[in-house]
Amino acid sequence: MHDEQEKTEAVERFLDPQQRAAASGAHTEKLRAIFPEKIVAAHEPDFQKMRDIILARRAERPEGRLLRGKWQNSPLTIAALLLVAIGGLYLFRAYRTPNTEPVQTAATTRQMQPESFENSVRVFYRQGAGVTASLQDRALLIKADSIAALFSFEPTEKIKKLAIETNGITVFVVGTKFIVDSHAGKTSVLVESGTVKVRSLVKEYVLHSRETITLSAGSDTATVQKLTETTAFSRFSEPTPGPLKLSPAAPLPKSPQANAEPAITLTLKNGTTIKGYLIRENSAAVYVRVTAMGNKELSFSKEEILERQ
Amino acid sequence: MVVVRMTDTEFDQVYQKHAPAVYRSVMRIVNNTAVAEDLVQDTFLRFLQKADPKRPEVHKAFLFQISHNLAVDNLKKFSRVNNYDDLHMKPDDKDHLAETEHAILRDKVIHKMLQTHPRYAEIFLMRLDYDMTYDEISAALKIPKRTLMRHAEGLKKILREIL
Repeated sequence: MHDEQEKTEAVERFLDPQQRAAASGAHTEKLRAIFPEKIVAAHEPDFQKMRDIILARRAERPEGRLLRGKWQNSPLTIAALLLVAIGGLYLFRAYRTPNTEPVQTAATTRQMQPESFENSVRVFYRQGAGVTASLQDRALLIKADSIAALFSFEPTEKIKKLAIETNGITVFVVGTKFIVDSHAGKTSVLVESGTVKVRSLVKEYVLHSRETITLSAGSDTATVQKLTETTAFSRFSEPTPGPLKLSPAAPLPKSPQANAEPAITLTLKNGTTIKGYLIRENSAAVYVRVTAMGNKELSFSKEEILERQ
Repeated sequence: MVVVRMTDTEFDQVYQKHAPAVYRSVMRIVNNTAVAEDLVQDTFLRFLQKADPKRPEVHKAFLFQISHNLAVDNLKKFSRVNNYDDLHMKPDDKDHLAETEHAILRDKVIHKMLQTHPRYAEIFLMRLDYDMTYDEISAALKIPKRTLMRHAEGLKKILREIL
């Protein structure tokens, strides 16, 4: 009975942050041994390095917290929001013209939010520069200096046609889901469903479902190929757009500035050299996006790494 | 909509103050250093996305909740890879065997707490690694103090059993 009392007191003291350090006795020592303050003495993590990795990963994803407060649920706020919405709708209807109207211009930042035009065209960006959009005679024209985006298009009364113009290539759309990836003068089009017409300055191509083409402005050597890679489409629907995965024949150029992943070169103990971008790492392994393998993500145990740069 | 972004300086303050506690409490559940490091990174990334920089008083509880949920989810999803050699003593230590026994015991106790009542492990780790008072825990878990103390008695009973 006396021992039970001691055990109870030892547990009480151990659970009390104020008394834990000063507590003594066999039972307390046993609890301390089982639940030591430093749980991993042999392998203390490098907190500073972890902090750097967290902040590097932070740059990859949108963040921030929507401001909340008591005002959020108040009837006055709801009424004000309704007023703004009704006013906006009225102004929209009052000022739009039947045939020609400007549409919003997308920002030219590297990671843009998905955009929707009249619930007809949905664009999931991976990357884009100099992107503008205009609506004329119920045809939406999207122009871009460079772009990597998935387009989903369903014709409606307001938008009957869709065209994307980039690097001298114009892509005409009938009603489909496809990716346009245009970088450094090269444009790839991957069609998931429907039919897409691709026109360069010298030739016109028609792409059907599950077909792809890569061509340069002014070139007439490109051929339509069957699409074997399917993961590229799912990447665009993620809330935080992930890396676009293309077939090894047409890897998407990625720069460390563009995706905030630092470049890394690993020399393995078996003599292999791996070049890519560091995704993350922990004490056991390094995760690298290897560009030569179509941006495939690989992990390497630290034990097999001889040198890293 | 106003988006509040935590600055690097604000993050550093929170990270330096709480990262060791987050790591310890996660490590006690997953028992694997590599997994624990990954979960700590994920915890702080989620924290950066959701935390309100203007309310530092809730950061500790928020971090615990994120890390604990991630650790328990990880435990449910993946079969645990125990690495007792890695846990707390070097292999050439003379007390290595005893320490390994302690590590196994620790594993069993945490498991029993998680299985008996999810609150037991939460309360235990909040007291042990985050040095939180019962009032703070009651507020963080949003449960009445009386209910909390009843849970605390349950977890104490499990701790007494190993003595």
